[in-house]
Amino acid sequence: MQATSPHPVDLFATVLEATGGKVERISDPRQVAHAIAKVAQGQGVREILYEPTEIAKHMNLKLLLAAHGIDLVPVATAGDKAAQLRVSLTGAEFGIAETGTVVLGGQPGGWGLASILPWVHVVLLPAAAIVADLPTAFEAFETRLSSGDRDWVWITGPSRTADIGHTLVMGAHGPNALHVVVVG
Amino acid sequence: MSGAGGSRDLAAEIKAAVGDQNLKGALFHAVSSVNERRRQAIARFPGYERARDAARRIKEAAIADLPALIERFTESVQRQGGRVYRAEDGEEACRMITAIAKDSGARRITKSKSMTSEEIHLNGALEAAGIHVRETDLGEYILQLANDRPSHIVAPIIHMSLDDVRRVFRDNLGMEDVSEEPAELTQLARQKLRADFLAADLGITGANFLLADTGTVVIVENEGNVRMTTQVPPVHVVIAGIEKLLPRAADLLPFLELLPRSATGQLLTSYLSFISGPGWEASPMTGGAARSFHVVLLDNGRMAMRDDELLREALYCIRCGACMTVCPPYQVVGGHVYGGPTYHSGIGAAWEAGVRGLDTAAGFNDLCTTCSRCQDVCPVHIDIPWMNTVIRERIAQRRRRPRGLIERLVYDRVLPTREEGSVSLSRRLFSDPARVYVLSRRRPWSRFMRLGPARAALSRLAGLSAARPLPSPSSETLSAWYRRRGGRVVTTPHEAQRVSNDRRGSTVFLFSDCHTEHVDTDVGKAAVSCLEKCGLGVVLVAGQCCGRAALSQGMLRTASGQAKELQELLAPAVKTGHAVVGIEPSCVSAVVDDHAKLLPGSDAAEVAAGTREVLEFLHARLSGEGGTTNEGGATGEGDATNEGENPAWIPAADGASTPVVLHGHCQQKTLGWLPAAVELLGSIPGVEVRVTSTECCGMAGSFGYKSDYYPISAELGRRLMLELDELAAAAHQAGGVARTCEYLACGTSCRAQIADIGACQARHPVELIDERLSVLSPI
Ligand code: SF4
Repeated sequence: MQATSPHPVDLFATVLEATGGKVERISDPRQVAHAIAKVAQGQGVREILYEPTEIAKHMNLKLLLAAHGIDLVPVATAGDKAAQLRVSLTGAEFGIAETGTVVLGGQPGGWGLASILPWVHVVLLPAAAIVADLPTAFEAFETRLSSGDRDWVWITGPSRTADIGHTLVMGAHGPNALHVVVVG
Repeated sequence: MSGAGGSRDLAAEIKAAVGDQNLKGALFHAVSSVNERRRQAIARFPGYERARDAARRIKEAAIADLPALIERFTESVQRQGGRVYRAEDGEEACRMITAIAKDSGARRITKSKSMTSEEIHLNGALEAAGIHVRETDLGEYILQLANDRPSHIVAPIIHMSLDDVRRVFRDNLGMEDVSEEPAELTQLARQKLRADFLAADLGITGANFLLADTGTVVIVENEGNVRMTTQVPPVHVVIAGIEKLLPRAADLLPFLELLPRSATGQLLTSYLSFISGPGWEASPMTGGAARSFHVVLLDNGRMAMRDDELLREALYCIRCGACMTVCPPYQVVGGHVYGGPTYHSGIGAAWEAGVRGLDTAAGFNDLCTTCSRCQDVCPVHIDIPWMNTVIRERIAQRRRRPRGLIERLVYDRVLPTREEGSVSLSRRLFSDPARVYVLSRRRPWSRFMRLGPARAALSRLAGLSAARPLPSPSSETLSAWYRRRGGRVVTTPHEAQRVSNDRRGSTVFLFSDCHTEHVDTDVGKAAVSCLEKCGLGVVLVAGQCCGRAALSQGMLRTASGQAKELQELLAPAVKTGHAVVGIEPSCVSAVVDDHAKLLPGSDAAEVAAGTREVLEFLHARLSGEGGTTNEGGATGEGDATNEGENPAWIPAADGASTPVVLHGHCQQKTLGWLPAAVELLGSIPGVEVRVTSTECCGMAGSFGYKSDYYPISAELGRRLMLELDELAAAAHQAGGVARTCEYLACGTSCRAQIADIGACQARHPVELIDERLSVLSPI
């Protein structure tokens, strides 16, 4: 271990960006809403496929986004729309700095669809949930898996393929962009 | 389509593949880049060896405990509302999955990549039942359109160029104008497949790992098609081999560290799915249909593999594909030629032997050159070359016929063998290099063999390539030279014992392998000289083959016999505390690696520990890191010679710097001796070392002599020459002035290949070292 190993949040950002993701660190709820609104506006949409999460409720994001003219559509009630919406918003349980990974899930839920259907996936990740390395993260993860939280996805960057012409292309079947807002 | 075992015309397939510029271009580009990414990822992972050892241990325990794990996994999944099925064979698995589909009223299935489903021809079975199956991994989708099959377990269309893919789109999607941009083609496929995903009423995936204690299926992927397949339709069916089971969730960590790095050079893939049951009941995508989760556990020969001491190791495979991308013959011809119906390259023979039988493995097992590059990269330490050697022997045993008349009258006299039954001239020739060298030194044989018609007849009878020059033995053997010079040569166990007991102080026993003894005597002389300059007395052990050549022909009986005899010559030296040193890397590797496997329960492990490759030995000696002999040995007179002494190098003749390009021998790399050689050369003042990254020169002992395989060998040789010449050009440029750059190679095959294909001379590094090393201490 180097004496000056970078702060986990910084390392997380560096590694995730190297895998093609984007990271912003924001603590003010208003700024968080602004960042999410910007993503939606960039895609030219006013509705976001949404899996309710503690941190979003806590920040009152629904109201703050409404001020930007943006509506959060919960997956459970999205109906056929779920497959049409271009942007989604979910939370995450862990971040792993060493690998640039966000870990979603625990119990089965709308996060499963929200993290794969849209073109852009926005993740709200509490800074405190970022763990420095894979072994430490895995230990925490394994404890939850073994105690009954059995459905998860680990996401490291956007969906990708290099099948055609051996050239790396983002946005194979899932999101073309992964945008992580580190909160706090 | 090939893969029908005995009916394959491998030689014709090889010719066609080597002639296919498109395949060569696509494949070579792809394997080179993934190999480079893997190398970098592993170089940056300090825990690599720890993870490898842990993964290996976990796999061994898991396979040992397999029946109990199946029970535990079944209970765990059922507790969570899923169902587990056990299929004896492929047919039963197909029947079960078809029944699940029918019971749930499924008509359209999306499916992610699963080699296990390829193994059992699942798509055919479902289609036959009137159910539409869509492969959704991009590569698999393209193969499905083209009615082709995967040539790699991780990158199924690694054999296809961009133009190949464009052609498939044009011909099968009714498109006139197909983009040349991979990104646009990917988007096109995404749209087509999106429609399939949303319409599917059942999803099928494979599994990378099954966690018995939590009943969890773990799937590793990059595209997101596994996510779509498992999240959208209401029914999820997993088809997985029983070998995918791990006891506990906690066991998964080393596999997560290894699999992405070994497969694609990633830290983690884009998606890792953990699925333990039917999933989210409130999903808006299922149209109110109840969700269900089914896992079909497939045996299909795996339990029998588990009971087979040799094939059991294949069950530890985590299907990373690294052994394929580093495999030299695979790099040239791809998995359709070097592979069976489902599994390819090195580990493919064991898998095909296990799930389909020896006859299928026999169709391609011979393409393994036992170069061992795969063993080096396998994240779970599978000894693939050894498996292929034993499979080769099993195939020969199975096809054994009695010896014919000509064999008894002629072959048995000229080239006797210890094998039972008929042994072809080719196998006799290639398993006994010493005898071939002796014969070709002896006139009139030597003259006769070089005559056109005789050579042609030999080529036909023994499958020798006419394009390959025969090696020329030197007029005097190394041991004859050494004796003439007054040196001590031992050829019998009795002599070995006596000399070992008599020698005091610093003595090394230099083992004169067949090639050094008969052909590369200059290399042997240089080695003797270097050792002597280091103040060591040299005893030459000569006249006994290590068995490596017989081993490569799958002739285990012969190889074991030879190994035993060589062990009798080397063991006394090792047991009395003398070091054994060898020159030809494959022969040294036979002593340090293969003998213990050939002679279980013998002293071979002790001899292995006391045996060193010459450059590695000299490096240790000259850098003062040991390499002395007789330290506290049985004779008790270990003297501390030159510990820490700086080697005195003689300046180059013209004082100029000497650029060299070194091509490491395969076993030298696998056994970790190359870095020492590079460091040793680099420590010579003025010597600038560049090292090739080409895995193998392509000669691989007998491989390059065989007419059927010559095209592969020559192609690999050309690639090596390209790299050597590139590195030499870089050396010239770096020097500013024209400097001659020397090629160095440690293997006799490597040097012969460089001479035959590149028309260049390469020396063994020890020859350069001998030129520049001054006498350090008199003996
Ligand atoms: S044998 Fe080893 S290297 Fe080859 S695919 Fe299996 S795990 Fe990977």
